[in-house]
Amino acid sequence: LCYFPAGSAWACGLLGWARPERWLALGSLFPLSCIHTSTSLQKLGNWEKKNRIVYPPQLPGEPRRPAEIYHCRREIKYSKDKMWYLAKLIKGMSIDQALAQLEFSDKKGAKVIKEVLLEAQDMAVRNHNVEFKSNLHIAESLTGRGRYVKRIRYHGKGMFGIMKIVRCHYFVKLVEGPPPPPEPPRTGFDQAKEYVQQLRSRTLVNTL
Amino acid sequence: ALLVVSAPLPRLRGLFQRCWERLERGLFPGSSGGLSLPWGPALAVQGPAFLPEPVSEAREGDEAPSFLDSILWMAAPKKRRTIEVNRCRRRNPNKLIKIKRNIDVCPECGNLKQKHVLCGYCYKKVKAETRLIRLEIQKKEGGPFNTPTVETVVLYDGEKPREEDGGKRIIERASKRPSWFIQN
Repeated sequence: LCYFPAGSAWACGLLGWARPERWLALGSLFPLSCIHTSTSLQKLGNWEKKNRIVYPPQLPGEPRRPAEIYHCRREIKYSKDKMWYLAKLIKGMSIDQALAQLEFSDKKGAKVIKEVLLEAQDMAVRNHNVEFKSNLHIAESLTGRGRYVKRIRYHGKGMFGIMKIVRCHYFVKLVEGPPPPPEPPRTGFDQAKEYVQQLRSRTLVNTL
Repeated sequence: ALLVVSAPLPRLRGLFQRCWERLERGLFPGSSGGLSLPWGPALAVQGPAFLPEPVSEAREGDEAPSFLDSILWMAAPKKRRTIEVNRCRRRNPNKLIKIKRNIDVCPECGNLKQKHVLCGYCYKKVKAETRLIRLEIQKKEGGPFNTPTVETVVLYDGEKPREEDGGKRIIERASKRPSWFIQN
């Protein structure tokens, strides 16, 4: 049973090089206008492409696959290290709890992340067949470095420094369902058990 | 007056001479010529505890050695902090943002609010209404410093002033009374 894992993307890849509209222009009366008419302005990043994967239909006996929604915002005027603290705060929370925490946080990035989460929630309900907008939890939330720009910072006595104007990206993955229960912290007993297991699984090397 | 003692014993004479010299120094301090306490009406001026002469020699060399010395004694990192050490410091639980446990739901509008703070939505609502009332007051007064010395009553559409609102200033608002603005 073979199927196209990413049907539309595969077809696009195969015939992407052939552009029939360009051949038709050769013999037609209307010359080919070189105006860029497509709507995509920037190159799509990997995170945006993750929303395009299409799974094959599930068999009747399989457990239901929870919906996954990938969303991101690029070139936010904030530091990636500072944004990371907020991303770490909301990792693993339900979307309502995350929105509550971000609303009363004093950081600049909190407002941005709240907008991203609300956009993602809206996208989930409209495009990704999610039934209840509260039934989502944050599976992954990451920050990335954006494009830095160098500028001169003027000091006294004719001295100068080079400062970086810092930007970041923020990525979030929402998954349908209640948030997973938090992991119990590793106790000494667990560590000892693992150590004993490690010792027991050793084998003799270069012997019969 | 000088006392003349005729030919005492030599020891007594020496002792007597020393006593006389001490007396002289006490009575006529400037006569001996050496360093002595100032005599006469002197101002009590606060001067340096040490004599000025020996300090001026060391003063030129004072700034340069302390500047160089302080560079030698300045704290500077010995080695670059590795990324592992940096991560341990940046990701320490005391640096992570703590979860707030004091968030509730406002019973009036249903938005989120902190327990010890007014609901933001309700506050904005009241603020907008107050602004409109203030515009009406401005129109009535016409300029600054025209506030009357009586109380103010705000009346909405179809409301009449009551008996106890007789002497008060009445502000008319051309809309329905909001549910949260109770008329007493």
